[in-house]
Amino acid sequence: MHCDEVGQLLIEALDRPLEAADERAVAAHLEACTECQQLRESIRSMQSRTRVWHEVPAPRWNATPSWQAAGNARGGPAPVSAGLPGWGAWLQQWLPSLTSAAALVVVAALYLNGPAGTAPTAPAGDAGPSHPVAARGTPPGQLQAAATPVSLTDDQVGALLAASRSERQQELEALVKLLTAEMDRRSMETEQSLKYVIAHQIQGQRELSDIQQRIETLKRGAGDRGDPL
Amino acid sequence: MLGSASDETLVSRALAGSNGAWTKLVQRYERRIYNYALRMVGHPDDAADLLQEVFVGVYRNLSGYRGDASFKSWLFRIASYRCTDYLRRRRVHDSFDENDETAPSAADPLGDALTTHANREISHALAGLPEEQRHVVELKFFQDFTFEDIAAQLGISPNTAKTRLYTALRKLKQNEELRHAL
Repeated sequence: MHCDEVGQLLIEALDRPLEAADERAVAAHLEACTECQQLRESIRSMQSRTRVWHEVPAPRWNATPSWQAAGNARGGPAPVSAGLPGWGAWLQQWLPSLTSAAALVVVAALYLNGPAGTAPTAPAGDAGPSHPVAARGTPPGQLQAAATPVSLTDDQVGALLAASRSERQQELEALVKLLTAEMDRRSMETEQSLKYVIAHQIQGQRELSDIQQRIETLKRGAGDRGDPL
Repeated sequence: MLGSASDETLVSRALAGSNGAWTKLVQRYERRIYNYALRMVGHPDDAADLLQEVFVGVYRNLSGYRGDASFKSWLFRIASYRCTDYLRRRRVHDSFDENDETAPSAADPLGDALTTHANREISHALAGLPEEQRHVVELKFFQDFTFEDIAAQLGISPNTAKTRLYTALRKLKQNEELRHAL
């Protein structure tokens, strides 16, 4: 049996079990042929890869979106009132939590890197929910379904998706601005706290110096009079 | 009730206006389609876009589903088509943005969703294959379709599907050896 035939049988064996005679011939060939052994090894390697692939959950998206209206126009399921899926809704839901979390991280970083004795500023705001609560099918309030069914072409669907992507980009940019502003604010707060502590330290040193001078004056007065201290 | 219904039953009910049936169909396959897209395009954001595009396509063509093939097979036919279209568009886009270092690259399919070493390794291996071979490897090994199904989905003959798989397996082995040698 030639390598070509063996290769073909090894591939066909992925669909159905080989006949006994073919199986014996392939086995005999494989014992002596390195090239075909490598093919068999490659098949086994791919089979094992399918087992080790870690299934990733699908991202949250709205499974009953407005584009159903288009399907209805073509005889698809009835439209429901809902918006296009998206990161917009996700971002809208998580924005407060993300902002709080980012602020917390910034404050922690400033505290750890700051001079000893600097009082950390307590993070403001709610840390937000610990787990996403967005329910499938919740309308994100964007691109609402048309009141009357319309037929969308591929280009129109593409344009809708492009608009969704563009919107997501804008929201991310807004998020970056927000986080930057929050970082600036926290930084300023920490700086003010530092100034306050330093000012108090300077004032304390002055008071200490005054007390020491008064003690020295008293000592000198007592020495002149010969009083025991 | 709907949970144990066959795909074909869910399709019929969805066509009759049942949102629950449609949602159930989506839930049944979205994870599989997303992981398929992740392996094919190698980037989580792109895979998420592709996931939506696939189900938009499924919905719009649902009334055209005749039940000649299984729903899964029909679904992956749409997914393969959308994926090919997506990769074609990305090639065009990349040709305009050759200097854009942030553009996703098939040679570097890393992303937040590809968190495990195994996923990264598999994505790298698949990215080293031409698109037409990647399709066949995906549909054969990860989706467990027969060569007849794969041929129908990709619009090729079963023999071509087998040849593509054979060539892909040889190439995967070569790439693996090359990686170990470096």
